[in-house]
Order: sequence, then C-alpha cells, then structure tokens
Amino acid sequence: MTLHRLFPLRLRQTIAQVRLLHGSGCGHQLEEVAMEPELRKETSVFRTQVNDPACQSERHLGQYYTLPTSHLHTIFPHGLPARYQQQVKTFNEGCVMVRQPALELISYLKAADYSKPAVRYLLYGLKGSGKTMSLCHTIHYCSTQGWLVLHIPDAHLWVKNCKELLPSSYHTSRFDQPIEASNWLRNFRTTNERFLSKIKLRQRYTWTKRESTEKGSPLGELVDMGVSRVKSSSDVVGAVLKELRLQAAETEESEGFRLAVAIDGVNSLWGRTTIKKEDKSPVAPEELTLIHNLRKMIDNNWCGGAVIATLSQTGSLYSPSSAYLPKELLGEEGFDSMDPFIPVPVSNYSEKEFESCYLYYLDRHWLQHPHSESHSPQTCILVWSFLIPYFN
Amino acid sequence: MAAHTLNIYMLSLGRMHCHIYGRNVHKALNRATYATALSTNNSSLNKGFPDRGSRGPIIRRPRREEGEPRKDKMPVDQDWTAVYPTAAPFRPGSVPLPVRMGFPVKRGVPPEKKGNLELIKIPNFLHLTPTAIKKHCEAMKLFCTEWPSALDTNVKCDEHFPIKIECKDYVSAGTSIRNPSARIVNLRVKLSSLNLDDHAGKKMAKLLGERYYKETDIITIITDSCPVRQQNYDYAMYLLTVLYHESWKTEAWESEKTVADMEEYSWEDSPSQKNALSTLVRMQIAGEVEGDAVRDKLLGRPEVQEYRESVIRLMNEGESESSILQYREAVKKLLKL
Repeated sequence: MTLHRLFPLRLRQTIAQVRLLHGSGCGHQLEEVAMEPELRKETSVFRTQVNDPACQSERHLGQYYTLPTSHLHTIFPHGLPARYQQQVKTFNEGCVMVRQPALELISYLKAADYSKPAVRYLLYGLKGSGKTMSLCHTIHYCSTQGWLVLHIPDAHLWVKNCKELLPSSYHTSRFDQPIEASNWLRNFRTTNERFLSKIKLRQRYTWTKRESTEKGSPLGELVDMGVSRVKSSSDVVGAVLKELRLQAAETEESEGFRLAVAIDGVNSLWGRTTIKKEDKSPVAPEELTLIHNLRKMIDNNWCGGAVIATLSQTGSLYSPSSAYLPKELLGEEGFDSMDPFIPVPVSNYSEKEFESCYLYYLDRHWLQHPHSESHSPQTCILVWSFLIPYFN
Repeated sequence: MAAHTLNIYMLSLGRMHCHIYGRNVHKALNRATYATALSTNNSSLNKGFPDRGSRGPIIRRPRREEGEPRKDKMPVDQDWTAVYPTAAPFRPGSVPLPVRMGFPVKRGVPPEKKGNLELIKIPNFLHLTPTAIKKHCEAMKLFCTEWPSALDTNVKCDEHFPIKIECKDYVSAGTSIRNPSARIVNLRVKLSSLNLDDHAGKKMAKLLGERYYKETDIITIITDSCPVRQQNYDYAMYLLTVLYHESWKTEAWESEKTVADMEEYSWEDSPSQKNALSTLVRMQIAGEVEGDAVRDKLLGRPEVQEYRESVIRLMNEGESESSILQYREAVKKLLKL
C-alpha cells in the first residue's frame, strides 16, 4: 500500500484552493511521511459531464458520471445494491464512478464479434470492492446501446428462503418458485418495454388444457401471462429465456438484437441451497426450474450477446468468508460450466479514486466536520475505511 | 538455619512421643503447646526449646558464618565444566549471571535469582556448554571408528547409502538398564532412489499415505510393534520390500481409477478440453467441417496449448492472482478478443 504517497498529496476543492496534507497523528499503521516541496499542477476533478458509457475512456477514470433519472427507474428497477439505492435517495441523484474494470469490460464488449458464440465474463474481487457497481455500469452501457438486458440482481435469493415451493408441472422432479419468478418477470417487463412487442414467439406454449400462447404472438403477452398467472411463472421464465436465446443470434438487419445476460452472484447456481423438500431433504440447485433454465443461458451454445457475471461471497451459502477467487467460489462444476471465461479482477479504490470519492461526498455535504481546513479527517477516513469502496 | 530445622524436628518428635507414652507426658504436652504457660512456669534455661527434664540441654553446634558465594571468587578463564560437570539444579551462588525470573509484582521488576524457586524448577543446560560437549566428544572418540573419507558430501552418502536407520539408546540412573523406547526403529528412504516407474511410484505413494512426504520425497517408516529392536528393524525392511513389489503389480480393479483419484490434473479428456474444443468449433462453424483431423489441428494451435497450460497451472497449483491473470490472457487469445 502506498499510503505514504498519499500524504503529500494536495487536496484541492473545486474552488481551487491549495492545501498541504500532512500525514500526522491518525493511525499508527501509517509509514513515515515525505513532504513534497513542489505543487501538483492538475486539479482533481471528480465529476465528468460525459454521461454516456460508450464515450467514456481512460481519461475519465476516477470521475463520477450521473445516471439519468429515467434510466434509473427503467434499467435498474431491482439491480442496484441496497446501500447505493439509499444513497441515490439521499443525494437525489445517482452518480457512478468510472473505474477500470467496467471500462475494460465495455471495451471487450465493443470489440467482440457477435456472430461467434457468447463470451462469458466474470467479475471477481474482495468483498465490497465494487463488483455489483461495475456490473451496473456495464448494464447501463448495454442499455444505452439498445441491447436487451436480462438482469438477475442476486441469484443467491433464488436458492434460499423460498416461501412457496411448488412441484413443477412441466417436469416432475423439478420445483417451481412462483413468487421469485413473477417478481423477476415484472422487473424484466419494466426494463425491456420496447422489445416486448417486437419479438415474436417461435413456438406454441401450452400452459393448461385451456390456456396456451400461440406461435407468432408478441413476447409481451407471454410476460403478462407470467405476471398474472403466478403458478406457471417459472415455466414462463424458462420459455422467455429460450426464446431470447434462439432469437438473439439473428443479425441486425432482420430485427435482431443483442442479448446481455447479467447475473450477480453466479456462484449460487452450482452451490447448495437451503431450501428443503417436504421430507426435509435438501433441494439441489438443478432441481429448481429457475436455476436449471439459467444454467442453460450460461452455456455458450448461442450467439449474439454476452454473459456478464459477478461472483459474490456475501449471501452465498456454505462458502468461507475469505473466499473470493473464481475457482474457490464457483467450485469444480461451476468452473467447468463457465470455462472458458474471461475473469476481470475488481480491486479496492486507488488513491485517486478515493480522493474523488472524498470530494464527491464533500460536495454533497455528506461529510461534515468542524474544521473543513484540517487534514486529519481525510487521513482518518482513509485509514479506517482501508480504501474499500463499500465503506466509502 | 541448621539449628532452626533441628528445633522443629525435636518439637515434632516430642509430640510423637506423647502419643506413644500416653498420659504421663500429657501434662508436659500441655505445657509445651501453650507458650504462655511455658514462659511463666518453666524454669528451663533454654528459651524456646521444649523441656527435656533431666536429660539436659540440647547441644547445638554453633552456627557457622556463611562464606563468600562461589561466583565472587571465580576467575574469568576458569574451567566451567568443573562448576557444572553434570546436570544439577540451578545454584544462584555458583552462576555468575545476574538472572531475574518471575512475575513483576506491582509494576516492579522480576525477582532476583537469590532464593528464586522459579529458576530452580526449570531445567537448565549449564552442564552442556560447547566446551563441555567437546570434552564429551574427546572422551567418546576412544570408542568410535573413523568416518570413511570417501563419503565427504551428503550427496555421496545418499547415493551409496540411501536407506537411513535411526535408533535411540537410553541411559538413566535407576534400578534397571532397560528402556522400552529403545525398541523403536525409524527408517527413511527417498522414493526417487527406488527403482519405480510412473505407475509404481504413484501406487507406492498411495499405499504409504501419510508416511510419504511429497515436498521432500522421503518415505518414513517407524516400527515399534515388536518388543526387540532387531525385530522392528527386520519388520521395517520387510515392509519396504513388500511395498516395492506390490507397487510394481497392477491389479484388475486399478482400471477403475476415477478422475477424483488422480494425483494431478491432466487436461486431456477433461471438461475444460471439451469446452475449449466445442467453443472453437462453433466459432469456425461457417468454415470447416467437423472431424478428427480438424480436432487435432485445433489442439495443435499455440493458443490452445497456452490455454491448456494455464488451466493445468490453475488446477495443480491452486488459485492465485497471477495464475488467474495468466488464464485470462490465454482465454483472450483463444477467443480472439
């Protein structure tokens, strides 16, 4: 850690006052301070006006861009982390920092060839390092580029605390989760309104003896049916995924679209569940319809899109809290299913990013301290938050 | 100090006698136990001593003066082996070091060595200084033979004498010269020095289990089941022989070895290879037709080899940041990103 380098940093507010930062007092784990005599010329800018992820580049690293409010409600009805949602409510705006992992992912997405099979990307990193936020940044990019985004905000929620477990009508050994499935379909509808009427079904789906959805009807009808008929919502989810998978492969001219499958907490698909059957025996993940269909999406036997996944230890079941590397969280089975994938590491804040965050909070008047001129609050925050984004 | 101990002994002896002789001395006992009674009534000249009646006073040798402690009289170039020739308890007067030991009560300092029971309780090695050990070696040299001059390096020793036997002999001051721990025999040999091929080596390692340490490649067989050392030695050699011959044989059920039994990861016929091949085939699906020749051609490509190595490294060495980054670069090249 180059903590000792931070202390001679000049901390400039946007009103361009130069301040010397002494690394005194706070935190005995700081190394000795070296005072730099010369001034740094550049101003630390923490905001950027470039709000379109496609136009962001390395120049904007460490700077915050604003998510337009309309996008916040449509693209992320359920996707953002809870703490971030509280922050958005408090500050009345959603600002996301442009960081290296997200930029790297977006560059891969820009460079990829979509006639080839879907590439899998996996974001991994320590707890609180910003994996979900990087995923949301990438989803914002995909949305603004007109892709269809299939966002599963937390796959861990589907393998635990299931209030209602129904045996599947389609396949006898599987189980349905109507509440989770209908919730997800509702949010899916909000995110992808414009695609619902454009995509037509290729197959006829029979739900009961009297109800069926005909071939050629729009996808919206299927989704509405899933939301209203909660009992068969899991099978509707399966049908939706299948249709999207088949139709994403078409080229742009014939009204095709690109599909982004974004899964947060993908390691829950191959782990264990805490759901129990009536005879108290545990349910394996593949016995759940939702998980079974989701696993089919992760396979790279379809073209015309990408799978962006995040590993998450928080919320995962039966995994040690110090685990964060891909193979230890995915397990043998998961690794074999995802292989070959591109792992993207997400690290804690660098000094520049931390400075940016600090300035943003000062700007929003979130940080209140009696002497705004004193140096120690920054060092205190630095030391006690250990540069972890979650604690900032 | 000596008189004090004598006094207590006499008093206790007096009390014992009371029990034996019964009532007659009961009165004397009463008088002896109550000090007040003694001082007023007793006309004995010796104060504090029990009334010996007509036997007369106890003749004590006068207490000697303590001499100077030995440590003050020690020359710097003395022979330490004379001070501590054998294992002996700590004598504060004989050890010229200002040692302190114990808990510092009330934020003080640890107590000094004089009268310090803690220093006496612990074992000390004051009798085993390097000079003392040199003297032991000199004395033992009479009973030893010359080390062969040709075996001057460890490598040569391993080459000519790969099997190393270790036994312990015990000497103690006691009624019996026998010690049952002397029967234990420790046999150590390197697996690589045995004539084993690949399959035999792996089978030997599996048969040995915990007795084989992979890092140093050493087999350790410790035998203690027989009562005599000779028997244990024979048993250890027998075990080694049997293991060697058994590991060369291949049983019928060994063909059922599964992936989970394998010692290290092999990429061939693994799900990783299948995934990679299928991805590549799908990527080129417009161009070539699938077939065995295509498969071999795909496998021979440099990026596939690189991918193979990164996966093998990930599986065998375990995960680390660097191995994951290597895997990432290999996958990027494979998928042409």
